[in-house]
Amino acid sequence: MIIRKLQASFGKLQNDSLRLHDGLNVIYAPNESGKSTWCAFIRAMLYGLDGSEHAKAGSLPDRQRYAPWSGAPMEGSMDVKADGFDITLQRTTVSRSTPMREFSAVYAGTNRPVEGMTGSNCGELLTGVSREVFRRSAFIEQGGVAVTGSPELEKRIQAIVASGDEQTSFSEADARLKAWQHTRRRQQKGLLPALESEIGEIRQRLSEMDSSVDAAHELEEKLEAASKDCSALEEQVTEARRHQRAEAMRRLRDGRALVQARSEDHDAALLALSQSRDALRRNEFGNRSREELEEEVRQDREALAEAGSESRPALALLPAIASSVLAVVLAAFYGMTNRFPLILAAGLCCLGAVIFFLRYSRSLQDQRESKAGREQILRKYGISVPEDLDRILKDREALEAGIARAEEAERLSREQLDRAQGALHRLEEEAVNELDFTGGDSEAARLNRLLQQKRGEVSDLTAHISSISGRLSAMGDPMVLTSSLEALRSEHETVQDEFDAITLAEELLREADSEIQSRFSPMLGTLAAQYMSEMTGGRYEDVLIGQDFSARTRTKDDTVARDAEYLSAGTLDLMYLAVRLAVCELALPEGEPCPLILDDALVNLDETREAQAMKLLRKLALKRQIVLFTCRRPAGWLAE
Amino acid sequence: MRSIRIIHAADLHLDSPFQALSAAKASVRREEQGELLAALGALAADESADLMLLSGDLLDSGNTYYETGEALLRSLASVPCPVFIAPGSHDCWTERSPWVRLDLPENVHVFHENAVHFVSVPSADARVYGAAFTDRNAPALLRGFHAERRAGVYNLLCLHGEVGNPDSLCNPISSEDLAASGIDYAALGGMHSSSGLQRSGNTWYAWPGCAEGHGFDECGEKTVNIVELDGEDARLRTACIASRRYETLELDISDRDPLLLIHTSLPDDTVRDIYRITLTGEAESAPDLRKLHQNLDEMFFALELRDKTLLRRDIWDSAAEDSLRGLFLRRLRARFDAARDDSERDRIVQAARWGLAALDNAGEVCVHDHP
Repeated sequence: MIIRKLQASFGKLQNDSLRLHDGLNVIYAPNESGKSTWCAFIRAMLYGLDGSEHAKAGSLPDRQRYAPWSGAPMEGSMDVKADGFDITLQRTTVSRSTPMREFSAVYAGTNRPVEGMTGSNCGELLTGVSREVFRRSAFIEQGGVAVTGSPELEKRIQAIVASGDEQTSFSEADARLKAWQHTRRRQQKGLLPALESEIGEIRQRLSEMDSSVDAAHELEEKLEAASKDCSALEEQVTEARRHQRAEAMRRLRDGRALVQARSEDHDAALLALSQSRDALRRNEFGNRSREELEEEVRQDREALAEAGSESRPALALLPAIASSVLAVVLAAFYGMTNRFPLILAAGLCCLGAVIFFLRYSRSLQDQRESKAGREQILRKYGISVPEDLDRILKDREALEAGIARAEEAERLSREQLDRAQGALHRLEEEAVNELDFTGGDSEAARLNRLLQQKRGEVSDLTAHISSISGRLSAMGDPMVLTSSLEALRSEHETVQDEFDAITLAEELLREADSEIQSRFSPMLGTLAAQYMSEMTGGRYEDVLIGQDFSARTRTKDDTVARDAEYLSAGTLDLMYLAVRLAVCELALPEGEPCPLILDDALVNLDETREAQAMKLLRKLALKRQIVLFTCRRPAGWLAE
Repeated sequence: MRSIRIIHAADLHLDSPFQALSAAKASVRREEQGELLAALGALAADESADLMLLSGDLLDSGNTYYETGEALLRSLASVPCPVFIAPGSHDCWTERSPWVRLDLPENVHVFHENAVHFVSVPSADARVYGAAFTDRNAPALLRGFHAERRAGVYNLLCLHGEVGNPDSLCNPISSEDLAASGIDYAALGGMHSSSGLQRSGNTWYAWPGCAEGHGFDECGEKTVNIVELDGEDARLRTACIASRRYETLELDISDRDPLLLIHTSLPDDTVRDIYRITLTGEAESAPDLRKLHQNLDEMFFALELRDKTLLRRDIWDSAAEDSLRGLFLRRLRARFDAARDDSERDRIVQAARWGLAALDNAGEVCVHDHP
């Protein structure tokens, strides 16, 4: 195929046109004059704009990047000569969202469409290779001279070095196998890790269940022993309680009987005391105290004694009578004598008689009063003579002594009662202590504590067993888990077999691909070395190409080839240009040669090497059209 | 001597896991385990059995699930005749065994000594001899044993062991031992397939096999024995008390549609069964097991599909091509021819399928739904 003419409304190109011819076309133009745009336009005319391209950091898809600056629709035409026919390709835009979607291919100067040529297959029909292969072989973008692999290029290479079809690509097949492999296992993800995790979890659960069952059995044995101990202790506690209660009751009964007896004694003492006191109360002196009584008796005795010692009234009458007689005598004498002293003496005697009579009367009164007082005193004591007072006092003393005895007896009986009650109280307290089987230090209480302790143990063991049983229930059915484990193991085995089979397939497919590559790489290297040598004036004579299209080169003085990292920018460009040209030569189909498009591919070369490269390009241009866009006028070109 | 009827079962292996069952379906089987035990009790009642002899491995291990113990007790209590149990290697008598823990009904006697001794059963005019495994292994318990013969009394034996394997660690029993035993009928257990009625000397003996399959190594109908003894004569019938069975089916799908072939090869009613269908023959691509499973799933209680098909010969033929595909197949073929066993060959065939599927941009050879 030869590109004849281009006309573009594309990026900065505004209905611009470019005419090309057979052989080497060198389009010299300064920067920003649209060289890369023409390259992109040629690719777009051949293969259309890739609708699947999306904007990425630092790069825009062609449909955006080359939208006409003028705002006009993106469109263009390309006249080519292919298989002896002049064909005009045209791509126009109907919808701005899908620029250059409308396609037509007609024989030049007619409206007759080229049969079978569409917008999507146009490039492959004209160049013989897919868009991917074209980009990696004949289309050398600015700064993209290095070759990269692609499934399509692999297929081309496979078609070159092998006799089979072009439909299989190792990298595509390898990617599929890897994806299937990763579905099954990729580090900790995938079917196998998931199954392993499930299997591990079930194993863990079953192991825990086994441990729990063992623990439960052990606890059940302990529980059985503890339950037996409990039963034995219950019997012992019952017997101890019965015995202890009987003893306590017996002691209480004895204590209560003693209290009852002491109480009766005390009641008798109280009765006797009461009777003594009643007797005393009934006594003339009542309840008076002994001191009061003795004082009163003393006083009464004195009163009685005093009453007994008073003068007799008859004796007091004698002076009165004597005085009266004397007065009469004296009065008689006075009458007789008329002597006044007699009368005076008679008067004094009368006065004396009056006084004595008064005294007598008073004495008589006193005597009566004294008698009445005495009688009263004697009557008070119920005696007739004062001498009986002693007897009364003795009786009284006897009564008091009786009361004292009764009081003593009462005190003694009360003390005995108190002691008995105290003893009973202590017995009751002891009984309370003994009958409180939960505390205290009795045998029954000790056994009861042991029983409670054992019951607690039984309870703890039962709770623990219940807890384990609950946990076991929550863990699931061991038969179900084991069945599930078997099923998972079986599935794991199946998936592992698949994984192994996929791994084996990948390994052998890679080996097969290596063999293909090992056939292609030397062919490619030999041709690239030849080109490299021509472009470097024979300085570099070897180019070694890896299966991933990485390249190394060696001068004739070098003992080992140099990796790309050790080459100068110019030499590196030359090496990759040599590889590219070799790829074009080997990978592009024979027959109608595909044009080679180079965008500033020689920009890093010095004048000498640029001239040598131009010389090679001119040589190659004898076989295929070459379009070289450059911002620097090539030295060789000038010379020509 | 009157005739007596004996129900003879063994190797129920209660609580042992089921093969090829998901957790959900294993749960269903857990429920059904109770039905199996109930069916055993019902069979004894229906047959008006005089005795039930259970010859070991009723339980799969010493760690019996609570519900299993309960179901076993219910079942044994419902048996209207004396029941004798001779613990086997899986449910051997130990201090911790379920036989000690379970509160067994009065009609049940469990042998617990590892020496043969008897229990008289006047209701059946019989003496039931038996012994227990007290460990996973047991010596030859019947070696040198002879039961005294008494007029009008059957000598029966209930014992777990292995017949015909003198090197067995699980009570090896020889036909000579049986012939010399003086036993009228030896109810044996320990073998998972049924023996039918056999005789050695004057001793009839049989083992019923497991009462229910637990995996694809126990396929087909599983039964228990119904033995009638009438003097010196013996008759044996079998009864199936299992609710499900394991079955396997191998089908050559070469040039045939696997789905149609499976349908035409299956019996009518498989809905209660657990099937493993293995596809063999030659196929260009692996059969779509996922699709087959979706189509067939409802026909079974559980289904396991296995692909054992080989690659078609003409696929191997393309190994001669000078292409990526050819080089790949050539390498595989070399490995296939050098493979040591079928499993390695199977892996290589599978690798070929995966590789070709990848080269042809086809889907996965087998898709799993596992999350």
